[in-house]
Amino acid sequence: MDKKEIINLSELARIELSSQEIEKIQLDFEKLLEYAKQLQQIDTINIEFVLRGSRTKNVFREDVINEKKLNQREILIKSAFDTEGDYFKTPLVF
Amino acid sequence: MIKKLHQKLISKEITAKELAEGCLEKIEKQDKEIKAFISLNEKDLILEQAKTVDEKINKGEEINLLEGIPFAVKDNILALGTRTTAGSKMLENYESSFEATIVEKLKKQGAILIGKTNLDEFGMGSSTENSAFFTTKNPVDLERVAGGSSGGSAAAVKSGMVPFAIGSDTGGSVRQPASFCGVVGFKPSYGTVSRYGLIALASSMDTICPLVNSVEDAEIVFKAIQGKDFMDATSQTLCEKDNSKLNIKNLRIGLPKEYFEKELDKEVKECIEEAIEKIKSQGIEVKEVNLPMAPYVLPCYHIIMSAEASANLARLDGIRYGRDKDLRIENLQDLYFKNRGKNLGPEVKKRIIFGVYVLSSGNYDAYYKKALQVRKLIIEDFDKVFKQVDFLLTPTTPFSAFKIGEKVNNSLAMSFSDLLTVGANLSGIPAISLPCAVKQNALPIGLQLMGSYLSDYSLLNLAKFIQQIIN
Repeated sequence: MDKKEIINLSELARIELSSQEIEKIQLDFEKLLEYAKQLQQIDTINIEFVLRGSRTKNVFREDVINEKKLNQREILIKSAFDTEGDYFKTPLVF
Repeated sequence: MIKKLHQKLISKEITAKELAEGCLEKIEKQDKEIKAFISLNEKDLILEQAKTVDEKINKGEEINLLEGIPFAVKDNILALGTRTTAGSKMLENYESSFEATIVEKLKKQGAILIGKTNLDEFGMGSSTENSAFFTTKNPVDLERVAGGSSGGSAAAVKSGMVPFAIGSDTGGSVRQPASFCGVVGFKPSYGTVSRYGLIALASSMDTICPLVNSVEDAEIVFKAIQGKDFMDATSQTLCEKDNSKLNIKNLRIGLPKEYFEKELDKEVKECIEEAIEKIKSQGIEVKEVNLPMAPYVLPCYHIIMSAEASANLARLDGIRYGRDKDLRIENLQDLYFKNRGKNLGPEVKKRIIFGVYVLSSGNYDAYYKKALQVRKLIIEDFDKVFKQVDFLLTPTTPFSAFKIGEKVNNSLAMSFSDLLTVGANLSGIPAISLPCAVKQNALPIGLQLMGSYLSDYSLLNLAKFIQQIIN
């Protein structure tokens, strides 16, 4: 894995990395990839996906409001750094 | 222990106030050293809850099994009136905005929340050395780790600070610390306990679990927290049907050959083999079985867990919570990059980036899709074996508690402690770790039992029986 790839990934992950961190991740990555490549040994042609390993199935519910959770707006907004009225405020997008 | 405490309360041998004070005193005495707790609830609040229980008892009213029983909760689970840090600088000051369903359920039963316990940051790690705050020490040997990521909860129970604690297990994070500390750690079938209020690591594997002193206690806590929840679409209620009764004569226990071929520490091997002999001498059928997918469970787990974690931790945007007030930022991108760069720990960053890698186009097929297919084969592996035997027995971890600092710089080596536990997470099956009898002054060693999906009550009955035999 070269540095450029790690930097590219860090941009996708929206995480700023120092040059030392990039080096360390480079090393760890190589080990991890070696390890992960073991899965290539297995023949998986015609094997289906399992997104939820626990055999759960998709469920639906009525589109009704959960009365218990109605008045959470105030407390949810409390944790934000910047708000205006009922809105979360973000820094300038560009 | 819980039943005993309950008896003492209703017979007025002790008061709930004395019980709570006793826990707080133990914490005050020992936690400076052990560091199991990140935060404690206000003493006044705790004692007031205890007072309510005592008043009920004095009036002659009936109380629940868990009423007046103090407990702790891993700090990745939200409880009103507490901070929930997830062991991270990012959420150091985050005040829980709602209550996790399991905390609500336990409080409704009258259990008393004492505090939040230490963990590896966002559940990523096997020793609590990845906590942004401090490392929890193993009460059995203070130079060694308590295990992780639920190390704080395991240590709190082992040292007698609380009769029970709640942890979360995504790849072994409850069973491994249970094994390292010498307590019981039970991972229920995926979906039987609501995850509402648990900060997600890998949503298809995260399971909320009890850490306790006995299998009986595990069952008591499990009964109190399990059940379908409107707020968690993956949850379901498990009925304790008649088939939870154990038929010793027809019991078949399987020893997966591949789990014993691995590099097990000599002490672990000897301890488990001794336990197996004790079980055989009871006339129980114990036979070797095969789990051919065993060598692939850990790499499969790494890929799926990292992918899901990268998606789940994308919510740490610094906008709704977790904003570092000391950062000078110019725009939104700046906020994301700098806030996450500064306040997420190295292991977390690495796993997120690995997750992004395996999900990116060009790599998706070779890694993530491949891992999902392998997962299907792993599930089939377990399904096949449960047609030949009723339960599986393995060591919980290949080695006992390592020294603090020993593996902290080699996260791949550290993750090998999960070698024997991740299979149950990938396949959703229930698993429990029991402390095995060890020589005096030896480190605790865990014996793991696994059952088929949704066989939780049967597994607990088996574990009660085995617990008696091996100790």
